[in-house]
Amino acid sequence: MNEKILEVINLSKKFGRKFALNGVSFSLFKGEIIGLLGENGSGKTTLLRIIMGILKPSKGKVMFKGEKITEKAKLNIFYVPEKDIYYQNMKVDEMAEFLSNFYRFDFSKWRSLKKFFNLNENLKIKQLSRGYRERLKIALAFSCDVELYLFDEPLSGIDPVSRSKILDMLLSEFVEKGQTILISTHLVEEVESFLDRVIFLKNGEIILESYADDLREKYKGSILDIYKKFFS
Amino acid sequence: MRQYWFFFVKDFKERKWWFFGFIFAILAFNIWSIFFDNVGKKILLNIFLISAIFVYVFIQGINLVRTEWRENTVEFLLSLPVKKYKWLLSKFAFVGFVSFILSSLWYLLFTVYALRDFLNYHQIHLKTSFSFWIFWWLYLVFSCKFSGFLGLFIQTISSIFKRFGKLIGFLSFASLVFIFFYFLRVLDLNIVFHVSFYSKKVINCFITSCSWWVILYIMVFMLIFSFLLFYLFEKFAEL
Repeated sequence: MNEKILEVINLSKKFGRKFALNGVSFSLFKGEIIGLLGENGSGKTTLLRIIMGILKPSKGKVMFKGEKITEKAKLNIFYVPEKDIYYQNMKVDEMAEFLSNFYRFDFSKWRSLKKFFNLNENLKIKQLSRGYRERLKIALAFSCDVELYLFDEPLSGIDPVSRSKILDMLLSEFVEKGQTILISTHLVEEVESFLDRVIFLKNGEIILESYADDLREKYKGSILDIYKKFFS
Repeated sequence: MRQYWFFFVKDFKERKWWFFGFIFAILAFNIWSIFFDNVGKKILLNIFLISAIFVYVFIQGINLVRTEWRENTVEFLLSLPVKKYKWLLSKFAFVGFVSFILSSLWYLLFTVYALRDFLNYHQIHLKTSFSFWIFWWLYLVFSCKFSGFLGLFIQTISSIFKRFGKLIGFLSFASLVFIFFYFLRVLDLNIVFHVSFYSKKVINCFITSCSWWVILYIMVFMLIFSFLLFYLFEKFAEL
């Protein structure tokens, strides 16, 4: 739990005159599951995009294992955005094959995940329903052998009944020991039991960062209660 | 290089019908040009057509990148462990490569056929002075020129169709075909014609050897060959 995987140092991002992120600093340690919690427009997606090198920060830097985020570092980071980002004309299996050209891809895990998510490999991605496209994104992500996963609202398209079940199964069956997961979400209730640490982001600034158990003890309530307290 | 290839295959698979359309255009244009050619030297037009391939590759490359933006897939591409310029360049390389390969392929078959006839004819002095080095150089130049022409033509037509709809698109297509062929019928498109060194005798022997059944034969052969090529390409991509 002590090896530092990712370090975000004094990160700021301005769009025009507006600050999307302002002086954000935190670290992620090996094997942790961290919840990046906040309302819409709080800067969660911007933060993930900057970590992934999709956006350039206005100020500050991101280090992965002590080095800047380069293509070499990206081999160990997998980003799952909220949007449909995969090629809609590709079949489910074709997309996996395409990804396997860039990452260390575990095909046996992919087959198990396909089965687990009930994904039809013969369908094109555009033929899948929204919920199944979300499942596909998660299945593809966990088939890639990386050290850090960045999820942006991974459960938003999945029905409420399946969410916790999926998360539970995924984390117990498919996540390897030592893999770090940063989940950005506002569906706090579904994820809170899995989180080791939480970061509350509001108007581009970190307003709270702590271990989940410490927070529960300090505020005598669930993470959802604390979230409500901070954001209402 | 490996990564360029994966992007290339992905783009190619998505645009297979565009590829076959290209083949048809090549065939139609060549067949048409055979019956209207003469040995005019339109140097400026030739230069323009060669530069057109670069314009075409640039415009189509930009279009491919725009498609990635439109379909949100650019976020996925940017998140991959690949240098940004690699996938960007692969788009341009894809357009240039496909258009050039297709047109050269057509030239190759056509010229081999023409040469076979030429070598069977009895102009011995032509055979002895024939330089293959010049021939292949010219082959390369005119393949580029032909790719440029087709690229420009397809680009113009597709833009008109997109902007003005079917009726105006079709009318523009018809008039552009007429204008293009009116100017290009004097622009010798077959490599053998360009070897002006051999003058009209070669051209005569070539033209006399081209009957309808020969053209049909080449056309069918080209189609089968293209499908075969594409099938192999797909299979190779699956490996």
